[in-house]
Amino acid sequence: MQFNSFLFLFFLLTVVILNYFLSSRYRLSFLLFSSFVFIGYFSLASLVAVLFFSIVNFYIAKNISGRSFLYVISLLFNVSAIVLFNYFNTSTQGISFKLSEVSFNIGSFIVALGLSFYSLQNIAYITDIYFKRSTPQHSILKYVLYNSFFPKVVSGPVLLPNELMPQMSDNRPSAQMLASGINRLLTGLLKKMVIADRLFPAVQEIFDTPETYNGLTTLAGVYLFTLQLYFDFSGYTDMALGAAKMLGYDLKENFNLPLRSLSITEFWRRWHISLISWFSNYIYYPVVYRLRAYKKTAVFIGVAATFLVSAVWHGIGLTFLLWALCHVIYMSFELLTKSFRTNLSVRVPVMFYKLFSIFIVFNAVCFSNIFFRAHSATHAFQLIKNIFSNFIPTNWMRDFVAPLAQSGNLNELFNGITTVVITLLVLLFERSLTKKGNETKINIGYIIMCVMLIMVFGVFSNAERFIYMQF
Amino acid sequence: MRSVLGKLLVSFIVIWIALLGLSKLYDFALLHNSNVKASYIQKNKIDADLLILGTCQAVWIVQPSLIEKHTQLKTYNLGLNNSDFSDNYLYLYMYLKRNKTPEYLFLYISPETMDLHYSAFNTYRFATFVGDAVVDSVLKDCDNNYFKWTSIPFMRYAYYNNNVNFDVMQGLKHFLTNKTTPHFKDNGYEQAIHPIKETDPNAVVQIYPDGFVFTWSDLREKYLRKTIELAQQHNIKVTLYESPLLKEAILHLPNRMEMLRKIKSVAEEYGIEFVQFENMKIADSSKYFFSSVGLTTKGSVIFSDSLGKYIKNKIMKK
Repeated sequence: MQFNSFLFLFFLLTVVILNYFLSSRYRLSFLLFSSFVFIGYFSLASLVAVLFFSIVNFYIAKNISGRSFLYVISLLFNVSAIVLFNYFNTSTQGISFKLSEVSFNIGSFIVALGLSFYSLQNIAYITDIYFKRSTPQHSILKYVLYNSFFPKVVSGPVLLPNELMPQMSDNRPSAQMLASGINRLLTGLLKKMVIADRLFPAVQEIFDTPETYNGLTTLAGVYLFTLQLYFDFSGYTDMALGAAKMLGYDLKENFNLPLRSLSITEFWRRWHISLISWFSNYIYYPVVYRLRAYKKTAVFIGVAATFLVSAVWHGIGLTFLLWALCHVIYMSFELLTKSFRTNLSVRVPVMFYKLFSIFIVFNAVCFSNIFFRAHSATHAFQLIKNIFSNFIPTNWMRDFVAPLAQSGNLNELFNGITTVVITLLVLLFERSLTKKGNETKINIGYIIMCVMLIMVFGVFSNAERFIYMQF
Repeated sequence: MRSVLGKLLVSFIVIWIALLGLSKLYDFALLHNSNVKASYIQKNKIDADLLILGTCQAVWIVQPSLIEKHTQLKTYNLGLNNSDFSDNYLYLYMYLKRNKTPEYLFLYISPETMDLHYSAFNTYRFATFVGDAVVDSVLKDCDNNYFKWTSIPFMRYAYYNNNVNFDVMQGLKHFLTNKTTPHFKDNGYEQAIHPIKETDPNAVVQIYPDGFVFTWSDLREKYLRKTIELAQQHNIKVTLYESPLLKEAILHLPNRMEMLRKIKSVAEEYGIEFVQFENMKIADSSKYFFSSVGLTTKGSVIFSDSLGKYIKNKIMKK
């Protein structure tokens, strides 16, 4: 049940209506039941997995106080779940085994819907209780709902226990929340269906055949991937937050105009915020605190450790390690040149400094994303080699327009131009779009605009899975 | 809450009306797009004596003017790029609704056309005609994922909007500029669009480097039969034909003969001929091909000339 499907919209509408009119004492149970239906629709194994990990962690937390051995075991239990999931997710076969005459092949994706996300939540919960920063939850119903709440189970946002569980009351969602949820849901659908999915074919073409294209075409593909990733994931997040709001819950923001960042450090404060704040709380700060005697070196090691864990969390493979290495280098460079950059910023015109910084940050992010998207390190290096050789296409129609606009015929060219124009317009007016998406009243004009744009330009027939569903 | 629900209701009504209006605008624009063959045959009386039907091989390699030269029959090429027998069936159905019944129908067929790996049914071509019982039944059969949403206003266009938006813009332009001539010739012929490959004959056989085993599609067979039956209901004399195939490519197609035998048996069931031109001399030379089955413009002149002679000498004399 993809968020960008009619089935999900119908499911959500039903759940929202029933949740609103249901007697308050049944509301939480109903949300839990709805989440089970949502997860179970993906696969029964995913439902069993979320139940299993939630129950085990719930009971570990109850007995963990002062037991460091149990804490280490529980950490190993949750971390190995993520690593194993990522390992099998990287292999194409999934887990295969034979029992008597019956063969089983469990596609890893289906087994573990959202496992990487809720395992981080479980680690946070157990750690906070072990270090006495919070107390164990008494209601198993609330704890299972914390892990399985359907608007965020697929790809987050990653929530700390105190960010969701205190909201689990029997309150009915307010009219403002309902209105805000609808606005946000439509904003997400617009980003996903009108931009991300329209960018997908060109990105796929460039990244699937890395040996084929010249520098400019490859560079365009790399830029388009960063835009696709952003609109895909922020679109998903908007939909998740919108759906949760319609049920009376405020989830944590995941994006804050990251493509306007003036530095990589700022970029990571604006991109996938919930994951980064998890890494900050449970990896970066503990490492830096432990090594605080080494001052700057502690920060470098903290950054490196954070990105190393982030790489493993995203998947087992050299490409993610190289992606993480890029960001470690960027952030270390920024740390070393901080005073120089501060001096420079007051000596050059503000607008120039801002635009130049945005340009540099965007390019740096795009460069690292080559490793994030490429099928292998060899492919990634081939793409980088392409960018720095034969930059200008010899035949513009064949080598530039055709791969980016699929076959390059007039129809596809029109689609390509429309996609670029819409993407640029949305980027330009992103701040107002975000504001409209967060409005707590129904804006008829905005709803009509979103629906009409989706109907005229949205991708319905070949709707793509959300990119972050694979993690 | 009442205010939220009230505004949602207003939004819903406005969107519903806007989508109905947009649907009408798309209908109008597409029917005025002269480059869309379905619209062209709706707006213009063709009244051909001989119809050519089939996939892109039919469009690119049969030049009606050369057939007419030999047969003196008004010939129209109703072939469609990237199509299958369901497209062909609906095009024939729509053609017959608006035009005089032709005497002859030449339907292109090859092992490729019977395999789902090649070409596809292009639902979006018939979005304007949703509501017609015959069109609806084919859409339901071939693309039910699309058809089930068509009761929502504008969804018949929204579902494949990437394939129709440009045609709509072009249709509006044609309407505003009074353009009535299509990009293809008046007789339906289109030149092949592979000029790059024409200069590289070696690329031709590379299309099947490891050999290719065809798979017979029951859905394709169903619509092949329906096309023949529709023509025969109108007393049209149907002939199935295959154009020349590059000889080198045959080596890479292990079950080609078996596919041809199946096609022949279908033809025999309906008492119609299946004509092959694989022994033509041009089949020996890759310079006449841009793919193993696609003839270049030069090749198409030679083939159309032979086809014209064949119709005159073998078909018309019967």
